[in-house]
Amino acid sequence: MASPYWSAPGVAQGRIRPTEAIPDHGFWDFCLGYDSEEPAEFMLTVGETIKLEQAYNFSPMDFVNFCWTMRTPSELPRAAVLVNAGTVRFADGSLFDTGDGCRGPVLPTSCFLAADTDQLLLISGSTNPTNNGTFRIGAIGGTIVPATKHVAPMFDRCVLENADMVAGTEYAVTVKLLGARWRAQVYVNDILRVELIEPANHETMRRFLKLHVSQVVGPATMSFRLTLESVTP
Amino acid sequence: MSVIRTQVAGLYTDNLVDVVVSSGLHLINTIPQDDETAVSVVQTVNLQVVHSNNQAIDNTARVYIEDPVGTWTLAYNEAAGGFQAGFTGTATRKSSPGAAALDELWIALNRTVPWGSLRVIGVRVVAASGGDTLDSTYNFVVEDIEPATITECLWLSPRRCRIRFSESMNTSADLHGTLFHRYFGGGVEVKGSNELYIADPLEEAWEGSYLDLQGSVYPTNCQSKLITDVEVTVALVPTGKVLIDTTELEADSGVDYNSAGKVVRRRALRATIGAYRLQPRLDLEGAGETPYVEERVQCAFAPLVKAVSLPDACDIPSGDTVSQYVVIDFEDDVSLGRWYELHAYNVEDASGNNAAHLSLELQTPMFGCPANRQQLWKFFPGSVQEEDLTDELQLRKMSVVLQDLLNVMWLRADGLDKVLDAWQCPEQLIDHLLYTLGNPFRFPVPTVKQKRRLAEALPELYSGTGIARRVEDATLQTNCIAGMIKFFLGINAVIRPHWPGDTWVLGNCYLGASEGDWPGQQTILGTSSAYLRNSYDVDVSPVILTAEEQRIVRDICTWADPANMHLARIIMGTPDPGAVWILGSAGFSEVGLTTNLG
Repeated sequence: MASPYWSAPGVAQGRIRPTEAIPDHGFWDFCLGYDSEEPAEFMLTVGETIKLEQAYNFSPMDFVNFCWTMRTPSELPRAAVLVNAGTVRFADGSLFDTGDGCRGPVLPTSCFLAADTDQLLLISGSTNPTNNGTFRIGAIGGTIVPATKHVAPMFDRCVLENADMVAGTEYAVTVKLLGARWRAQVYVNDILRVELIEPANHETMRRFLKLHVSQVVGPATMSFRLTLESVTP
Repeated sequence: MSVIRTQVAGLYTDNLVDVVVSSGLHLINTIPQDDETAVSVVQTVNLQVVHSNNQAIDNTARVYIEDPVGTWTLAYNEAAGGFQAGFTGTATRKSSPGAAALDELWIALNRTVPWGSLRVIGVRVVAASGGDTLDSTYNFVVEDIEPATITECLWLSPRRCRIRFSESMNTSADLHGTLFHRYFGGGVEVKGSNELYIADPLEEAWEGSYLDLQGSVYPTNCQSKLITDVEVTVALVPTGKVLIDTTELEADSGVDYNSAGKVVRRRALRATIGAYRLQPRLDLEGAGETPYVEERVQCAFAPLVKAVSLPDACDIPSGDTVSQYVVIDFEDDVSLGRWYELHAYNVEDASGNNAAHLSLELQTPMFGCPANRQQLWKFFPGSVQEEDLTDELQLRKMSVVLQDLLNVMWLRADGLDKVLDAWQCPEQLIDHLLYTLGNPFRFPVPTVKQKRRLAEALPELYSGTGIARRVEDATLQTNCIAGMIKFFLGINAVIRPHWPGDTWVLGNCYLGASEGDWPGQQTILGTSSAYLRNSYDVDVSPVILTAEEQRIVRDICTWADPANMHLARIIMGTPDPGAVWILGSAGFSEVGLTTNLG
């Protein structure tokens, strides 16, 4: 799959000796991903992996020590069950106002965040098959809760892109927001040794890890991988 | 195609190094790791037990969780059903690359209820492999997800109190910060039943905050109101319009007119928008009493919050942080000995946990006034009291209002004898006290506390700098200047002669005396300049003073040194060799080689 990641290889991404982010922590052997504290210009899709492989001739040793510091993007899509076998009204062309042409579900409570725009919504349980499926959220709107600005406002409906809705109220519909997370792994000869998943918005920290390779002697390949994977709540 | 897109993460790898360890069991790759903080409340405890010599791990591994501190719970026992009640997860036996035995045990452990906020969680791992054993313990700290609470309120004066939060707070002056407060001392007008106008710049983010108003002739205007909308501009023109959640306001411009339309009085309507509000608990105070008893009718005045600030670090108890406290200044005195409820809205702690509403019930102190002072109500004969209590209570209502004012006036009158006390003098009179004491320093003293300290110290400073003594006792004098610098700036200073004092004295010293003739002595040429002989340096190295601090040092020296002495230099920063006079030793030195002429 063509990926924006490869649109400008070597520019602020996947570089040996990164210098842009976290410069005060010392010397870094390499960076997988985006070497900057600024929001990345590049968007990856679920299933894509950034990988660095190192062939190495192992002499007798027990561990390979290393440190990992992982910075997750602040806008990582969240995974959440918005409605669990509950009542959902589907609108086909009159989502906000009569004849506005928008299609999408209206939830019983306001639980869409503005940040959910452009994320994926999984709808199941509708008696109309065309209402079920995975859709991209084009816009968020509707009833705002709370009324004040002290808490992030939440909305009760969204516009779904390329949806073919059948209007009506259904009573056992499940609506899930599909999320994503970054998984870092190290393989030795394609055998998983270490993996790490940092929660989104978690404080960036340096982790001290080890590869157990006490029985590896001779040529082997170490593979450091950073994979974007989907999370279904 | 519907796929999730997101921004690229950054994974940094460093410190790659191979190591050889002793043969045996090892606990590795613990996530969260030892001493990790801000761990998610739903974090899975991941760990690996490995044997470094191709030896299978016994099926007796156990994991204990400590929560709360001192209470250990068995979470995983491989020999007894695996995960215990209250815990779930996976435990996988693996072979490391090239190993013939199952020499690894990977455990991912979840607790069915989230970890508690800020709890210190201990993890103990016990495992065995043949004759090798492992018993390892580590800890992590869970993130803070609970907002703070107000734990105490200390009244420093009838117009000032200090409140304490249960944890460190966001001390920003913007919304959600503990120092969020805007005081509008004028330019406020009530336009309609739910509409006010404020001349100062407003912010839309203040919607949802409380507005307090004072100075209106209508009692219904002078109550806290929730802001429902802030209209900053219309067509780029500032409007200053504030809408509130009531329709009970009476239009009030703050200007009173007579029947002829002439202005007879201008009242300044004042308003505040901020995080704090003091509310009299009149509804609750005495509310449980039976009708027609005097306790049912009470009175308490709720002054407007005028300013908020952080206390000085030296004023708070050890172990606390400054950000846990806020000092609140009120526009007027609170009622003495009355019950109030202090409210704080939308303040968040240092971890970003917002508290929409906090409150603390409190009783204001008597501030040293006797509680059994004359009560106006008691002046009335019992029959009059009884008649009033069974009727409209007008006498009782008036007496409690007057009593409240009388209490405040008594407090002020009692405070008159404290005007000359540096630490009890009312804040607004401190400058007058310093003037009365003859404060000789021209530089501004920034804080009230420093002013009080100066007022207290001035008599001693004067005694240490008497004209006669300072001429006679140079040591006392230099100590006094250094002490003043320490007093005002908190910096240790050394006062030393600008020109070394142990110079050659005619008739007493031998020119060209050698080490052999006069062990330990050398003859050093002095200066013939009286000005240089009477000059001195203030050495504060290695500190570097700001321009303002240098001004303070010069002011102190100008005032405190003897009339014939002069401040030559202030020596700051790293000592400069060039700042030390190197004088020639007569008979030993050669001009141009080791002698610097002064």
